[in-house]
Amino acid sequence: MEVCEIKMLPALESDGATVHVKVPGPILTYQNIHYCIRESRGLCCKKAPERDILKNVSGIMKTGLNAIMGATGSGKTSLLDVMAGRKDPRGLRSGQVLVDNKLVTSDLRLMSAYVVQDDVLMGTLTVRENLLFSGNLRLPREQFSSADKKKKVESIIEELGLEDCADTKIGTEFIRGVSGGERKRCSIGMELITSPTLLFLDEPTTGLDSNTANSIIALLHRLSRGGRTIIFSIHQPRYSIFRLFDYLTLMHKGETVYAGPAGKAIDYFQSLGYERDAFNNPADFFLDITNGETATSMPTEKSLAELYRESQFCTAVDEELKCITGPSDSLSEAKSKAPSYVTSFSYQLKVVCWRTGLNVVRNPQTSYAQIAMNILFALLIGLVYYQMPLTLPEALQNRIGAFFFLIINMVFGNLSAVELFINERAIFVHENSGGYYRTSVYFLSKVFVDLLPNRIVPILIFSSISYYMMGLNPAFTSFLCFALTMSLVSLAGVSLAFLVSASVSTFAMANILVVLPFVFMMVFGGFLVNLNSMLNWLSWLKWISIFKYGLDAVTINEMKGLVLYSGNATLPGELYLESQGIDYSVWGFWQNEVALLGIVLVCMTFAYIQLRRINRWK
Amino acid sequence: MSHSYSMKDVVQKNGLNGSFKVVSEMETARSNPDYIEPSSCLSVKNVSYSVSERVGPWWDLSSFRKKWTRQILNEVSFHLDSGQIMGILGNSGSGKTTLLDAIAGRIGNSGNLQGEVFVNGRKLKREQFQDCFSYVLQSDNLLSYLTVEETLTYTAQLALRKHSAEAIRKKVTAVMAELSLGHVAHSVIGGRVFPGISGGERRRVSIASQLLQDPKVILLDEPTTGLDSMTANQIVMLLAELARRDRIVIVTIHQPRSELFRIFNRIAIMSQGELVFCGEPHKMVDFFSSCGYECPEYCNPFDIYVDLTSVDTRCSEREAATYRRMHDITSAYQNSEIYTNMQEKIEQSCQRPDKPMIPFKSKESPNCISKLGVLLRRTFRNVSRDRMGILMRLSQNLIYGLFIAFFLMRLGKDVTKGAVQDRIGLIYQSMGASPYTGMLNAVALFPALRAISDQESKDGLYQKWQMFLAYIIHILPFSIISVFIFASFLYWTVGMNPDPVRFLCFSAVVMVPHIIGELLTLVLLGVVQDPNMVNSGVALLNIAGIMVGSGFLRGFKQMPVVFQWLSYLTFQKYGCELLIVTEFYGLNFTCTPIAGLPGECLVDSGNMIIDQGYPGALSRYTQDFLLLYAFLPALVILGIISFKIRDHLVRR
Repeated sequence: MEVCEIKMLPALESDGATVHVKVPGPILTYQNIHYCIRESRGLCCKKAPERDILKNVSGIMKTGLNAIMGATGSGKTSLLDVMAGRKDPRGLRSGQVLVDNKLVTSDLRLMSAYVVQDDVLMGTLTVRENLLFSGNLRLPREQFSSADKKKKVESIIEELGLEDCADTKIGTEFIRGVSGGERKRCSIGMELITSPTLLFLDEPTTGLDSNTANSIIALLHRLSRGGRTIIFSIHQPRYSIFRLFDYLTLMHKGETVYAGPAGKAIDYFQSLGYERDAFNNPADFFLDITNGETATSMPTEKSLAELYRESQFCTAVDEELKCITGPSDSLSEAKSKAPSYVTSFSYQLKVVCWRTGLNVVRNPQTSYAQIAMNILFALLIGLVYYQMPLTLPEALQNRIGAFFFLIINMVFGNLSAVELFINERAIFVHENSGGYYRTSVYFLSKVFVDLLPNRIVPILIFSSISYYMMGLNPAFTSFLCFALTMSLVSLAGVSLAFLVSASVSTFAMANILVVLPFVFMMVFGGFLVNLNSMLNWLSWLKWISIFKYGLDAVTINEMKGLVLYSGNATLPGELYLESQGIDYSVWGFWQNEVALLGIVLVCMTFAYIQLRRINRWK
Repeated sequence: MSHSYSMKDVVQKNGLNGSFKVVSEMETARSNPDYIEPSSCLSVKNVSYSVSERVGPWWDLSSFRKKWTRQILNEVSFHLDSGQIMGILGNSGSGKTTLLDAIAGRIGNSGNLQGEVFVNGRKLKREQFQDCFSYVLQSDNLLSYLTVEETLTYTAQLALRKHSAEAIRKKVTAVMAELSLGHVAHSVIGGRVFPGISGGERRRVSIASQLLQDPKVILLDEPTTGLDSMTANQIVMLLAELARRDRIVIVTIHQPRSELFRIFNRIAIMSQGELVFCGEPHKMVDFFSSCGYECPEYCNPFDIYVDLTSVDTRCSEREAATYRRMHDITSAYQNSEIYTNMQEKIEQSCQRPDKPMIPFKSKESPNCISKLGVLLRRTFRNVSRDRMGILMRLSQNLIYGLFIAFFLMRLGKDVTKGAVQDRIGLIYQSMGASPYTGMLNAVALFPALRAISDQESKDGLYQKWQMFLAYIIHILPFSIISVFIFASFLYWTVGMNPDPVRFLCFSAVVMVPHIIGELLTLVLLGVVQDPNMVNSGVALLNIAGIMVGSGFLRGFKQMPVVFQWLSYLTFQKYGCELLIVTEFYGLNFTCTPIAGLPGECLVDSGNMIIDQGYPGALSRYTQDFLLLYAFLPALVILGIISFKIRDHLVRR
């Protein structure tokens, strides 16, 4: 069946003649591309040598399927990224990329789309929901009503053959989802929402089995027949995939060794003296040639790149490039205006919050685990400190010990917050650089829909259980102040963890960076060691300690108005507060809350700055 | 009508070809008097396997309660003679690896496995599979710091007894020569952190480890995964050469290149648990052509035929159509001459009266103590080359000691300046933090060793608890030295009780929680697969123990009775009592009144601290010491039990 379908393809198309379509897509040209990177050399200030990635590469990408092939390290993905504008421009030493004779600006992403190699989709959302998310953020509301967007999504689902799995979740490590091929097609669909005529894909068949890979390339072939220019890098396709290519660019060590119609590549290499074995795959054949595994019957001292530059294919490309280059001189003004979004800030915030909320609701193991952990912990500490007495010296020891333990677990219990952003870093970078939404939109939705509910609700449950079990001050206002302090301490810990999460990309590094400040704050909280004996030149550290503010607040909340007994003698709580140097006036209590809130705001601000500073170049 | 005619035509064609080939084989046998029967053969007969699965995750209770049965293998049969290599092809999920596991006897107790495996016509019992087959996994599990020669030598020492050192050396040299590893004999294996031998060479070392026992049947699961095409070709050609030397080699492979077409003696194609085809490569082309599927020009026959037999699950119509096609091809195969001949071979080998013996691997294993010795030497050799690892392990506690000393500086004698508070804080840190460093060591180092141990114990080299014991014996000196460095630095720097005997007591006490942290982590790693979960679990146990047992956060007498009894189960209780007595006994404090608080100068000697918080601790000193150290052998025994349990949990 599949073989019959393949055979029925018109032979004329595979010969590489001009692809006939109703409306041709854009023509992308690249000339004299020279791209380098500077390899980092540890801590030395000495400049590291530059390494050439692309060496004076030129070519034309026309309407149809354009494949860039080569071995690992040949530069095919770098060429794709340079054409798509995804490479750091500082590495581009020379050359230019034109689309329909116009210099590429930041608006290229409005007419083009880029599908990355690893699928970046929200696993808890269904295929339709992911596509709708893309449509809501990337289709201007002036031109598309809600009904229009839904219609657009349905047409894409139909075009990509996703009807059967449209309402299936993509899948996470807990949720069984769609298949690999369906996930890849959904990734392509996310980019087709804006009806781009120029489509870039980075190795779209990697990780898929052969049947699925075949269907993906067949889909791209069908899309290209609708008037699109599709450019993709691919590693070692089989012949059933190879025969669908219209144009082939073969790369080796940063140079082009063939660029022209795909159907004529075999003839070209045979004319150079290379013989192909029976049943050998053309892609394997090309790879053997570039790797030097196949001997030629016409040995020459020239490299494959040099042979190509002397070939008729290169000559034809150069002729076309000369014709195209002429008119572009008058259009060389480079518009470098700031990138614009098609939707407003408030609308973006609404859509991203909807998705973040949906994600939180569909990860029940996270919420359940949080609540269950807090309840267990509250019961544990409530039982250990059950109904603390008012007799000295146990009263002081137990209360301060309980407060210390509560604060320490509020802070360290939020270490898991470092996962918040690291898991979604790839999604954020892809969507933010693809023009989906602003950084501030993502940041605010993460804070208000994910962080706050997931941290505040369990703490209220925790506080109500442990507070009354321990027999602390029974006044309701005191309980409210206690819950407020616990919430702010937890939020401060979360904010610091979020800042670390936004700054580094691996769990191991994030865990180390978040534990160190917590440990410093714990030591300077004033409980493990007496602050009076601390070195004077280090005493300023206590002012930035979450532990100190938390401990002081709950201590004031409890001790004020409390009377302790030691035999016949009585000890007002205020005396203890004075001996510890704690200001227990009304402002003395609230200044701790204000300080904790300040820590929250400062850490959140820096986290936002870090989000904006994330390197989006590949 | 048309279908019936087509099937009849197929039968006729196959009949004709079959007859012709039978004549050819007979002529060859008759005209060649040197023809020798294969020395051994492997027959697989009607192997089926099904499992029951839960539909959804645990928090989705309605889905979690449902179960459904999935058929993974369905009536698979084939026959192989020695000197042959067979490739099993198929898409992901077709059942290739499960078939290999079924042949090797490595399918666990879950699921329902039926069918039989014969070697030389003799049916294999369950305990004989391990002794007959060698299995090379898809991923290489090797110790990074050993050289190739050392890796193979230690494996030989674990596998072969009654062999002198010279004989083992000769065997290792021969195996390395056979696999072209002689030129890298003295190169280290390497890993992610530092480079070593190449991926292809590493794969060959895995194969060499299995050849040391002279197996007649070698099974390999996707040996070309992760290698580039040139290296993959070399591996498969090497395996074919191994098979030609009187062995049977079975390989699962995902998408082989067309050059390998001539190398395999047999090609088996799997789809949906069915054996769609099994036969010689050139017969494969003839068979599919007779079914109406020619191999087009430029196409890799492996690609085309795997495609033809796979089931497309993108939509229900295509799934039904492709399933029907796969079923038709399978039926055609089961009605073909190739299938009939294969079945005849199976019956012949089972029915022959003079069956050769089953060719077991060399099986004289060393005794328990010898294996422990070899494991210990190997672990020591591997870790001793990790300079950075050793340095970190020895200095991690010292770094923590620096951290504490930096804040405490010198301990004073004035109660109002925190003399008591600082000392108690120091004891809290020493007792509460040292288990964490032990836990981090185990989490960082042991899972890699555990993966190797899982594989090697499955090969029958040793039992998992022996690796656990070797690891413990190896880490003890490092732990002791590390804690001693920590104690030496901290004790004298901050000015604790200057009696040398008390310093020795302090060191001896602080050593135990550090080792307990590592031992407890190892015990949990034996039964819990995820190191992160073990990390959290040990941290939680540590927090609970220090809270309940130390008497620092809440005095013993004020706790509910349940927790008072629970505190006896924590090592923190004994450790803290010992440290409190060691530091506070006989110590005198001064007092400078500040605010006139009642009771602020009540404490004037360390003995009062002991009597208030830890009554009777002084008289229990020796008993606390013994109880604290009793945790160590108890955890070792618990660990041995844990890894024996692991033998049952991990079946593949």
